[in-house]
Amino acid sequence: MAYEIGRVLRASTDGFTCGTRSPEIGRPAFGAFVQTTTSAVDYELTVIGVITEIRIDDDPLIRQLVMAGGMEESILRDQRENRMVPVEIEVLSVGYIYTTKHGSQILYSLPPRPPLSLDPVALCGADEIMYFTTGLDFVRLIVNAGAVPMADLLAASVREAALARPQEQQHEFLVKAGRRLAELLSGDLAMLKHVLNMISPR
Amino acid sequence: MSLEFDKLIEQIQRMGRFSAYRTQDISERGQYALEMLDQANDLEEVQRKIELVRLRDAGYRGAAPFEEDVNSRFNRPEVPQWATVIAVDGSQVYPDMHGASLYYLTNIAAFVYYHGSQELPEQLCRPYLFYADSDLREENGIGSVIKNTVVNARRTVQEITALVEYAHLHRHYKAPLIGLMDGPLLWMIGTDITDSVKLEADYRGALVAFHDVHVNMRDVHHHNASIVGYVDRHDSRFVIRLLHLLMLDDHQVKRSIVETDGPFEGLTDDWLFSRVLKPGQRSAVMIQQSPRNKSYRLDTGLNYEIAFFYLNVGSFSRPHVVRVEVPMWVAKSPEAVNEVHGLLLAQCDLTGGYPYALTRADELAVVSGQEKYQLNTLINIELLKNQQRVEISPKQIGKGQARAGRRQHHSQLRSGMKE
Repeated sequence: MAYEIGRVLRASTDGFTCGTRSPEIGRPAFGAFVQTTTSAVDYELTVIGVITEIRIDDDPLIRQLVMAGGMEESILRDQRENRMVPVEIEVLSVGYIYTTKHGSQILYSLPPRPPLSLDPVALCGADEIMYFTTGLDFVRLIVNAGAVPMADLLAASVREAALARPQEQQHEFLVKAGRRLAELLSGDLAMLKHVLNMISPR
Repeated sequence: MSLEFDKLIEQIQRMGRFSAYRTQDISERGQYALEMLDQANDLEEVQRKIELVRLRDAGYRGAAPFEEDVNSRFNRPEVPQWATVIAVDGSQVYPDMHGASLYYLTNIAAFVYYHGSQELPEQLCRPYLFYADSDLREENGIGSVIKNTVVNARRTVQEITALVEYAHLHRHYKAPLIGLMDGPLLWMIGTDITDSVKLEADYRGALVAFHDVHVNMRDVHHHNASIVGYVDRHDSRFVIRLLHLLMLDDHQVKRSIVETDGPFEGLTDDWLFSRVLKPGQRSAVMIQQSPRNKSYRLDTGLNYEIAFFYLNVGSFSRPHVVRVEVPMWVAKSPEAVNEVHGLLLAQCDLTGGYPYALTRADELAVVSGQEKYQLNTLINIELLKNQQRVEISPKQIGKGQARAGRRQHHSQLRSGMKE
């Protein structure tokens, strides 16, 4: 079941940034699958992405409080619950689901248009992750993305996709994913070895 | 960037040398002032001198001791286990003759902190938009556009009114309550301000209403409600003037002499008390002698004369002396003074030098440039929807274009041409 984590702050077809409040960052994790849906009259576009970074910016007051030392519980609550301490979640687009009255289609490429500002962003549930990762081409977009920690992101998202499956299917999925990664990273064996180490079943 | 720093460097260097000279100069006179303060422990003699200067109507604007020796110091008291600290602050968007529409806005914020409790603090904001001629123009709406000082004065009255309202709402908490305002409590409203008489009456009415909250709390659960004006930066010389008065012989107590600071010229109370008060210590409670404060006492009531003390909220290496103003109903209660003293230090400890509640109230109140821009956009949309003309003055358009960027390039080009 989808769990809303925030709303789109800014977006492009490559990915988007989701803003959320600090008390709401218990659930989203690095490498997790998220979705945001834009509806039009005759279609629905659900952009699927993976979280590449979760960032909490400081501000002068936070810095001052840290320097002042002793922290009262009420101050912590005020800072976390009252103040709009912005948490920004960076998301890389890894595909989209195009739904019309004729049915849904998964496409492992950049979406035709970015989500709109303030569109709700939700974590994908296990069923949605299984559905989207039926094909493994989403890893190609991660491999080709610049400015993301590629190895860790590949490993985190593949593990997340494996864990969304029933126990008995997880091993098979990881082996399949490993093969796909071997094709994509054949030119960088050190990187491939590193990623495979991180996803190999223990 | 249009400020030509190459022409400023020499002036800045001169300013630095002047500042160093002044500090050196002050330290010699300051030593004398410190000695005078040290000796000012005869309360009766001090009171006699104050009576004399009042009798001679010599224009004395210094401090008068209340019940404590002028040179006494008080250590950090025990802080109440529980207390309600309410801070208010406000900000504004001034009327802009060159903007697309004529209006002004005030934004009043309150922050309620429950000292000693883990309860979530409360934050409240109230924006007010003023656009009627009666609000924007002098002479009952037919004169010229009001000055910024009028907006400031109205905002101050809104702040204290909000403080009273929230104090009233929180009066049932069985704990001391302090209401914090950023700035002096003894309000100096200019006589040139439109409606100054009414604004002043409203301000004093709010003080009376806060006192009513205090009386109610005393009756119901025996706790104090204290209103506090917190003056973080000040150049007051009330005690310096008192020291000058004390060194005068009786025959010298006359306007031409009393109105100067004599040998203490250039010294401030901040200079003096940052050397006298240890971290956490407060000075004696004193009363500022001025016709306005006298009017608070005579016209509003004995409880409303404003007293003050200095408080060092800094550290040994960096003392920081603030002026704390309280009305007489607080000043005459040692318990209430201790509560204010202790709670202000507890608030300052949280942030390292400025009350947390005031910091948050300020943060809530401030209207950023971006918010002002959004507000103007919303107003313009609404005006257009109502078939109104939205037109920025040519002057404003010109300013906007000139400030929009490319000035660095222009400046470089200009200096290049000079070469």
